[in-house]
Amino acid sequence: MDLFELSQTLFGGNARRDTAQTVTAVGATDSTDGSAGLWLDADVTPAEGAGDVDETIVVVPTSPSVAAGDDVIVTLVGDGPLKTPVIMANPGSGDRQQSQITSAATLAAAAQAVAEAVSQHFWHDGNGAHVTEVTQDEWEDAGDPNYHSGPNSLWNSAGMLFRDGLTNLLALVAGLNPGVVIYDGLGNNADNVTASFDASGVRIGGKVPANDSDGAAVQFFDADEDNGSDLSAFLTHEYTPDPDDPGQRIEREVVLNSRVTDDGESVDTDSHAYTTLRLLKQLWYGITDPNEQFTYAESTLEATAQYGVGTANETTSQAIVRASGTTIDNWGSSKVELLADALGVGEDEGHIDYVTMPQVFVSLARPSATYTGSNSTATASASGWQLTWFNTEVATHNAGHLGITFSNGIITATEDVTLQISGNMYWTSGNAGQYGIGIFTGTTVGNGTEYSTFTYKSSSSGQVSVAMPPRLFTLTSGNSLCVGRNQINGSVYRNGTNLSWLTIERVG
Amino acid sequence: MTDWADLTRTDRIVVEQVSPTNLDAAMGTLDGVELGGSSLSWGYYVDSRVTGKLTVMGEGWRRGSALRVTHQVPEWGYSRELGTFIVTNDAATRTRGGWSYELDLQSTLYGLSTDLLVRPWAISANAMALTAARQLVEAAGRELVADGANDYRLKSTKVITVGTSRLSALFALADMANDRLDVDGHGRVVLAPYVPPSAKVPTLTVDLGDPRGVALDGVKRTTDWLKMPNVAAVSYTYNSGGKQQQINASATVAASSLLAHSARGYTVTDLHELSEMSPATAARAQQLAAQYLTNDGVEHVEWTLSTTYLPITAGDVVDLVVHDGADEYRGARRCLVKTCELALGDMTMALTLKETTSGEEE
Repeated sequence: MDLFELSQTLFGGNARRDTAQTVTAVGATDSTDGSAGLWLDADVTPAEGAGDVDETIVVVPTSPSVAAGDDVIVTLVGDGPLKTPVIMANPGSGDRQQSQITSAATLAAAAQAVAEAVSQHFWHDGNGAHVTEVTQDEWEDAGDPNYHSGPNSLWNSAGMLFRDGLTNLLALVAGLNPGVVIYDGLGNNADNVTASFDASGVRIGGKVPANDSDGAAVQFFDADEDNGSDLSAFLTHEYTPDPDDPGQRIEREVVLNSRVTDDGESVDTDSHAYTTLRLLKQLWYGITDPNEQFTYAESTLEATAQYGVGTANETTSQAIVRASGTTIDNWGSSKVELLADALGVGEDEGHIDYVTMPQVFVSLARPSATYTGSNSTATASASGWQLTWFNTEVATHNAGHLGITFSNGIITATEDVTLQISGNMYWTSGNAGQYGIGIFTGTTVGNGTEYSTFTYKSSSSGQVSVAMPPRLFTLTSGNSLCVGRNQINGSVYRNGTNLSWLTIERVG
Repeated sequence: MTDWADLTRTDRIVVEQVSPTNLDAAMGTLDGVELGGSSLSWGYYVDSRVTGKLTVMGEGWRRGSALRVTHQVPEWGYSRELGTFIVTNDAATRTRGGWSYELDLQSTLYGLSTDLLVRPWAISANAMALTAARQLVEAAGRELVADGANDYRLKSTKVITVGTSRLSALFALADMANDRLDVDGHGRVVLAPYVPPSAKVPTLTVDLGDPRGVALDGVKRTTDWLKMPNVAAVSYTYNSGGKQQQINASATVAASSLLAHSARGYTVTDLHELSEMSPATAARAQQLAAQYLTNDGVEHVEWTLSTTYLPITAGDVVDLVVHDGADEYRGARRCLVKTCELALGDMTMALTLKETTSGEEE
């Protein structure tokens, strides 16, 4: 093991102390990740791909901390011609600590000078250096009327603390996690921190009192700060519901708002525009039943984009997209409702854009108590059947998307589709095998024998209730799907749980 | 067709003088070479790889010039550069009114072994070993050929201290990259992937029984089987509670072995006195003893023989076919050409062949 010392100079300096026998470093970079760069007075084979700047730097591992320009002692380890340099000691760090002590003393002297200039008192105790309005003796004398009074700045190795008496106002924290902490001036606990800034993050806002209807932790105002409508960003804080108000609605709301108006009251001429993104989660706590703590939740995403090119207060186009949460319908199925709306004024008519729905549920039922269809008039038989969509408007569109049309009790494919159909079929009378579901070629029905193609059918006569598990039906374009025999002389009821209804889902 | 068993060919040795600083620049043929007193030697385990000596009558050698020795067979159109050398000694003798010179020839690698770094050389972490090797060689005015050589990215910075020879630094870099350092016939430094002799493909067969064979009489075999240990022992001494304690263990070859005491009548012990052993248990000592015995169990067999000229050099692998003698050493013996000395006068070669099963030497 060879041991020799590398000398160095500060960057840009020209004082150079050559004590080394073998290798001379002309400076070291700050250490990171246990290594530091050395400028060696040696021939250097640079790292592959290194630029010109780095060509004379070699990176060596270091155990002590190294700052740019430090004296370091390098030990070469290893047998054979190729030895590994390691920084084992850093005499320069001693100088650095001395330098830090010197700067701290300079700073303290400057503080003292300032304190004296403004008739403050500068003194120190076990906690550190203090600048106060009163002398140290008064500060420490509990019987003195000035005890703990007045502002106090406390400086020590942990940082600086500005206090009112002993109540923290502002802390500038040094040490391992340096940062700034702002207190509310009411106490020194963690709850009293209203803002903090450090490397791990920024926190703004403290504990919000219960039932504070405002509930805002952070509010951003524009210049016209008295006008709430000019709030440009609004982040609410959840707050504790009032136990005396069981029906209370709790809102969590995020509003990002940007608008340009003349006075905040009315929208003027042709220069106004605003956008709003509003995320709202509303909770109702119904505490009337002690066992039922949560009864309803709804989330709303509401986006509004509005612009105007017309006259004042006229909206030429507005689009609202609203997605509602899951609700429960009468059939025990879930639905997702997606609405699109457009308002049009003037020449620029609104238009509707639909969003593809992954699943559509329909209710196929014959609401009338009695049906007497005719063997030859399929059209007439249709009047008793009803295709119920949850929303007519969406249904109209999405029936097309499903690739089917529904007419006269017959589903006709307008393209090649595979439908998954399940549900319940119920008839009051008829023969075995004549009730069910099957595929027909073309749309012709009514010859009385179509039931022979049923792939799912009743196995008994009389009053029949068929609960069909999900089944796949593949239709080529133009083919039809018929539910039930069309010349039924019996009745189809929608009565209690004995309903006829089907759920149709396109799966291919 | 190059039939090396055909001794009717014409062997011609040409010695050229080349510029010592530019081995591509030829400066004419060296006259007065006395081939009878001249030879070239290759050694697989020799650092300079190839050396030679040349006897020259008269003042034909231009002082300082390098010499290139080429072997030609005119009727085959065959020509091969046997080596390009620097001259490291030129002892002159005056006899019967004329001067003759005994020139000592060394490969260009020798010139790198005497070239010591006078400034430290730092190879940065993430630098490539071949880049550093090329810098080392080219700074000495030589050419490095490293096509196909393994390269290696240094994981940490390395420093080569003042006083280290370029050659030892090159060997260390070659080891790091798993390359073998060599020199070609043109005097260029060569790095190529290291292949252990046991993995090499034989270049030719030397059949001692072939009537047209190239092997001359005087085949000699040496083996160390009579010196091989039949017992390996471990003795570990340590301090425990202020007392000196010892753990001893030994392993012995099987009674059926030719090395066994029952076969040789004596014991050769390989004793390892350890001051460090972990864990310090009798079981570990026994395990180590068995391991040492296994390592000791490699027999080193070498053959020396003379042949007519063959186009082989140290580092090549040949099959030596032995038809008679002791049963253990008959058959095709796969051997590394360990050394090879070519007498330029009669074009005979003295070969030392080491069986590849004998392992590598340091």
